[in-house]
Amino acid sequence: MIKENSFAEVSFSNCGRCVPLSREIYSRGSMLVLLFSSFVVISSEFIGFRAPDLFAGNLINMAAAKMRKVLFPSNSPGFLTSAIKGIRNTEIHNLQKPLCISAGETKRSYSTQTQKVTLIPGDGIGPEISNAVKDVFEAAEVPIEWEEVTVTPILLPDGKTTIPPAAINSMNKNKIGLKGPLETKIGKGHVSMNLTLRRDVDLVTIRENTEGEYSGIEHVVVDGVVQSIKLITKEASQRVADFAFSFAKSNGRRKVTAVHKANIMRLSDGLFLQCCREAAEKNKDVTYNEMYLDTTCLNIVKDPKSFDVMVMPNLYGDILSDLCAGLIGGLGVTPSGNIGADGVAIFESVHGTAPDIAGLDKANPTALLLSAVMMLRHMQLQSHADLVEKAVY
Amino acid sequence: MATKKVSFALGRIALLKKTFQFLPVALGKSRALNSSSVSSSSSQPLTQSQGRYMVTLIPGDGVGPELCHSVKRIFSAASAPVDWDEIPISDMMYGSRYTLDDVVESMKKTGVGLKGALTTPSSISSQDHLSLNQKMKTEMDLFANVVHCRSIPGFQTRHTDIDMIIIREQTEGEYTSLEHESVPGVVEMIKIITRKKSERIAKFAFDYATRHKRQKVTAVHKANIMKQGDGLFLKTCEEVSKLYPKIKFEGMIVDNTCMQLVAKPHQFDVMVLPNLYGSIVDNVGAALVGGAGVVPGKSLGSNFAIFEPGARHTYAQMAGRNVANPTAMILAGVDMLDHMNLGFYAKMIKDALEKTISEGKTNQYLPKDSINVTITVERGNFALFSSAFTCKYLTMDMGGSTSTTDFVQAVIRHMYEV
Repeated sequence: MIKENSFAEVSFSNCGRCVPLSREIYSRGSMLVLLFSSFVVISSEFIGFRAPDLFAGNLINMAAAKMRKVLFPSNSPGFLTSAIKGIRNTEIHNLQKPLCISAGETKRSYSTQTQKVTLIPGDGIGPEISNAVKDVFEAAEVPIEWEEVTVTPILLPDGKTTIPPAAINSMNKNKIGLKGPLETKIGKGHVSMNLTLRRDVDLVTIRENTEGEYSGIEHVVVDGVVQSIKLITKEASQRVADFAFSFAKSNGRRKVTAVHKANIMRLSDGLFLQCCREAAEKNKDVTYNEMYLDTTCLNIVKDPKSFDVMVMPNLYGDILSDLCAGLIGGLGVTPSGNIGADGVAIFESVHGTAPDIAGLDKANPTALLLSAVMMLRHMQLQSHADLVEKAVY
Repeated sequence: MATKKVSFALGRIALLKKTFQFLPVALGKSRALNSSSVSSSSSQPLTQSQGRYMVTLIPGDGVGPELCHSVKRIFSAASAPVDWDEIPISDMMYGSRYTLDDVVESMKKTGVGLKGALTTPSSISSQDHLSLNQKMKTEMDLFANVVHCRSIPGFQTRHTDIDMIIIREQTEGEYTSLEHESVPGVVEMIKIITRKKSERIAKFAFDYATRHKRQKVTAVHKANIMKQGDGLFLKTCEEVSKLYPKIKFEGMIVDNTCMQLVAKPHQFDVMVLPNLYGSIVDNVGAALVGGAGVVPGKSLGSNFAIFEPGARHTYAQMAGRNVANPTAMILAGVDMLDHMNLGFYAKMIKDALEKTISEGKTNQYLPKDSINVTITVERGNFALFSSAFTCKYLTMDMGGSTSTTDFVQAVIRHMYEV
């Protein structure tokens, strides 16, 4: 085990200051982090995807998490399995291959020997914060060997751009990756969750991510009149409602709030709401309530503490997750992980590349560090994860 | 024209003298002088009967009636020349003898209305697909909803000095109630965006910005996903913006807008939005400056103007408990008086309200002599009340414990402390 002081030094040397260890200085130095630390948003991202075969077509842009509690509760290692199962259940839409779900498939048997992890440093501030993570991991003696690859798109003969095969091979071989911010974001989301970290606020938004307003069905009726169709299906609504409750239960959360606008969109949001009610009937141990979208917006800004798990259609989730990110002071501290059904997992920071401060030694590596912590937990390196995480907070 | 105005002003003074004859002479005098200067600059009123104005009052659901009553009390205490044509319509009150037609009929006479929030029930099997709220907007073509989110002086929130205007199109978009179940378990909801209405709201927004000396208009959209629908809205706003070269224009995606609103709200000036996003941003904006209880709004069409709270919540769980915050409703009333060219009364009420709120925050005690018994004249009836010993007049949502009526009394008292 590593001593705490050397650890702290390393983590701060990358923020541009070398802090000799003392409790006071440590806490002062980490003020920025502490302000936003104990709060997690899982935010869904809906980003165009240019490399469809990178993760066998069913990469799931999943969950960042309040690491200890939400995603990888240390006392229930089986949760990941169940979470992935839940996500797979929820994710039938875009799968190219049918999935067979079995507990064994997702079980990983990692030994304590050194493992290779693909590192994609990213653009802008990416290399800096990736180095920070590397330094921290070295200090924490994490048994990981980094395999750095670049994902700068290359031009294929047919004029399309793609990701270098080396990166794909490395990912497929190592199964685990850590990714800094990229100029062109990679990732494709279906059911996604958004966790925001904030002091004494801890809420999860779960968003239906396959239909709703994002169905893309639009037509011009006559010139100057456009119809956009929002699609709500019972199947997808049931799926996401059930997932919300199973998520709440397996994470020890007590309340699920369905966010809707069924007083205006009586049939479509009404159907969604009905599915949520049915799911609530099945899960009576979880408190269930409903709230109008506008009331939610009002209350979440005024008092985010009163929310726990929220489930909602696509567009509302998009807006509310960003709203939460704004409430905690940006995406700089939001970690995220994409876990595919075939065991490939990429952990990343969801913020941008911040080219304006690149190379200035100013960037905040918290998000990537927390993502790396998620990765360690995913690799069953609990003690190292705890160590790093404690140091970050 | 000039003689008409003068005679009107004289009539007003006479009326005021009559109204204030029970009050201390000095007070009455200063009021009369002030009012004469105001009314001489006022233009032809919308409706007028012996210098008084008729206003349609829709009390609404939940705490609406209480709040409307607060406004009525304050108006009568301020001797504002306003008479109320009260029409209690509601979607929740079955068998009410009033219908929307009564409201329209009344509004045709008055042109101006004050409205509490109406509940839009979400009964899924409803035959009537449009709620009263929606019908009212379409019937009277109240296409623009304007919410002015402004930090209240003396009331501390996380961000200070917020001052933004949110303009929302409210006759089309998601609120069309065009829905159908094509096959069981699959529902389609149709959102409609038209160039005509987008153009109208964009023009309205730029005109509003010009009139209120604003620098920037932000169009909020989701055109990256709804490329045609929201794309049309954005494109139309862009085209209209070219007619107003002095005002800056930008487009912003709705989720980013929400994030920016709670993180850096000062970058916004005037915002123009389609229907649903408007509802979202109204509420976020309201929450930023203190909640639904403090932000006034108005729905405007070419012929009618309805004044209402900015974030429309009925707050039904608190109905009848005398704890709701009447600030938003009072400010809506103040806006209404401004709209009717009764600026003198508007300013008097607004000053008193702001004084009440800032005083409540600083927790100062008034000088002793003002804690004496005050007499007000309410519609010819004497109302006798003494001000309370403490001056912390904030309602529950603002962190105080004052009841609605006490808050109103405090405002009235502050009106008389010139």
